[in-house]
Amino acid sequence: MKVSREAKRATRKRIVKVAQKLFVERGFDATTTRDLATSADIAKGTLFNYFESKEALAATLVADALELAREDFRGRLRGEEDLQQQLFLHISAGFRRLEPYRTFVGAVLETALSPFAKNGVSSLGDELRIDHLEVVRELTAEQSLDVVRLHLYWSLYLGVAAFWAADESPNQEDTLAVLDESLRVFVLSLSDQGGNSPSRS
Amino acid sequence: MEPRIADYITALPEEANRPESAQTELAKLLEELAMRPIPTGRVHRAWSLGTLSAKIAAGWMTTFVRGAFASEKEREREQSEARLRAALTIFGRMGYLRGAVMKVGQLISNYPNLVPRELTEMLANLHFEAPPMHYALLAEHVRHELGGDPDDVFQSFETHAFAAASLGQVHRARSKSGDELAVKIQYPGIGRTIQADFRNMSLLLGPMLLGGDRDNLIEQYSYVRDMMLLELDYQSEARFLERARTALADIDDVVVPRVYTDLSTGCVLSMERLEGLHLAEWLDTDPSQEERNRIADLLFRSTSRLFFSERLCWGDPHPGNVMVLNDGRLGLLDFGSCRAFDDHEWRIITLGVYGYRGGDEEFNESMRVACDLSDKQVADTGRMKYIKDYVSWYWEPMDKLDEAFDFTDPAYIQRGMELFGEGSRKRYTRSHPVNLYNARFLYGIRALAHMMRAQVFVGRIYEEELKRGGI
Repeated sequence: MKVSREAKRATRKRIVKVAQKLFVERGFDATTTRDLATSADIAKGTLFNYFESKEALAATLVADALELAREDFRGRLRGEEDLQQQLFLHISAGFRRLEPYRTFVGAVLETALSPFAKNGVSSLGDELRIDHLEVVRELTAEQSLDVVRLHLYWSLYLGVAAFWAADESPNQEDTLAVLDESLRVFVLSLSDQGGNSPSRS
Repeated sequence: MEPRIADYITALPEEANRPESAQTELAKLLEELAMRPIPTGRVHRAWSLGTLSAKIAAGWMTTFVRGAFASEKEREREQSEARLRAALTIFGRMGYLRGAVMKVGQLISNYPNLVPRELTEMLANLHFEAPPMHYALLAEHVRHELGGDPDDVFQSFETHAFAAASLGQVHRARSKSGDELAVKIQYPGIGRTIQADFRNMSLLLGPMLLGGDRDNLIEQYSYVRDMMLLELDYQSEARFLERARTALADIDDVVVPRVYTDLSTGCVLSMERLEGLHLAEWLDTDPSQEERNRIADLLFRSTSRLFFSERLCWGDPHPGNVMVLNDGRLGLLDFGSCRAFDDHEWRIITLGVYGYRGGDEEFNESMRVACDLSDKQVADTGRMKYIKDYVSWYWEPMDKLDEAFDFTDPAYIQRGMELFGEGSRKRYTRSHPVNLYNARFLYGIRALAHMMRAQVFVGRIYEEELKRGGI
């Protein structure tokens, strides 16, 4: 029987919703693909028609959340922020949306966003990275980022995200300080860009 | 003209046997600090004693460096110097988080045998205008603390701070019910950073606390450290504010800001906003002698009421913490470093009062307990004379009931500073830790009165407040 595009979309949506619930309630590691399939009322094999792995499913949740976060970010801009503040707002909007998934963001960092990520998951990771950096390029348009600065930014971002995922300080207040300092470093590096290092864009 | 950092360094007397490396490290640190923005305006003017203080600070620094190493063997001296260098390095680097140096500066300024108070205050002030929290950071922090963005939690919230605080910054806001607020917000995570800094400083400075009173010095250090850590908790400050507000309710013309507890947490403190001028700004308007006397009188009256009736020591008498409101009332701010004395501490305090009023024998016996002295130390006539001189200096303004004490004369304040220096030099530092607060409070209030060039009936005020407190 041929499954309609609409039915596929509905199934996919159901799997994502179930994953969202189970990952938060049971934890990422404790949730199996069988649990996901059962809760979504599909066969286990069917699940893999939609998502290559549990990690890919987690990465999808993260990607969806970050897409919403980009809209939040635009809405939170007051028009008076300097670059450091804009970048801070951009990242913190993402953390706000990712808050329910904090326990498994680490897994996504290790798979989708890692340079050593598996195929399939890494393509989603590439999309995530490209979408995020597109905003950064837009915000730093005047500085025209070269490859070194982009790499510096992305390294700092992943570092802060990893810190946030494991941050046990009250209200993750240490993450705020780490993010603030990291962005200060990045913005300072931009002001140094024209002088001391060769451009590689 | 205000002294520059270079003036402090050049004012240090040259001396062949001074440990050069420690001095060089200090000079380097000061130079590095000099590269940072130096505050202007009110905060800078708080460094009010001018070039006189520069000389005293220089003298104390020399005394400290020389005295700390004089009796040691070469090897121990080198070790101590290395620790000092490391401590100074920590001291210098802590500026990356605003306020940390200021807190440590406050700690050490309570501890005059370690580093001269005036020098540490200067270092602290240099850091007062460290880069502020930007609004994006602050809004995220407030959301975590109060459960919503500032725009949602308050009716309005100004994005730019109107004042710096030692551990954060203060913003104007309006509550949902329309009240004008000052919201003090602590830099995220700074509390735990400072705790870690204290641990590091303890490790480094601990072995330097030389001399026969080592145990007592460590006790004093721990006491102050614990109080400083308490200051990191804005909920504790909120409780002190409410307590002071209630205690001073029947003194006309004195205001302690009300706390909005539903908008406050351990690192966000929402208070009634007082409108007026900080003390230094007010003095710039050239108020009359009568007005200066009135404000100083209110300051002595209210703080001694807290002290003797509430057993509450307003721990940070600083020009930035005193306001003259637009309607002429006195506003007291910042109750973060208050100390509420327990029964044992209160006994130590009152022993000082009774001892001073008694004869030599009673004085010696009181000081034995108050300063935790051994028989040998009580028999040391030099030490007991020093303590007597210090206590006499302390009581001098209270001696005359019907005559205003004239704080205009700098000689009185200078003599007090010299006494601090002498105690440090002669290692007469043994004392119950509670006296650190007592001394800091009294010295601070008097320095403010000197700054105001006020004449105050201190004796009369104290007599009345002592009676009221049942002493």
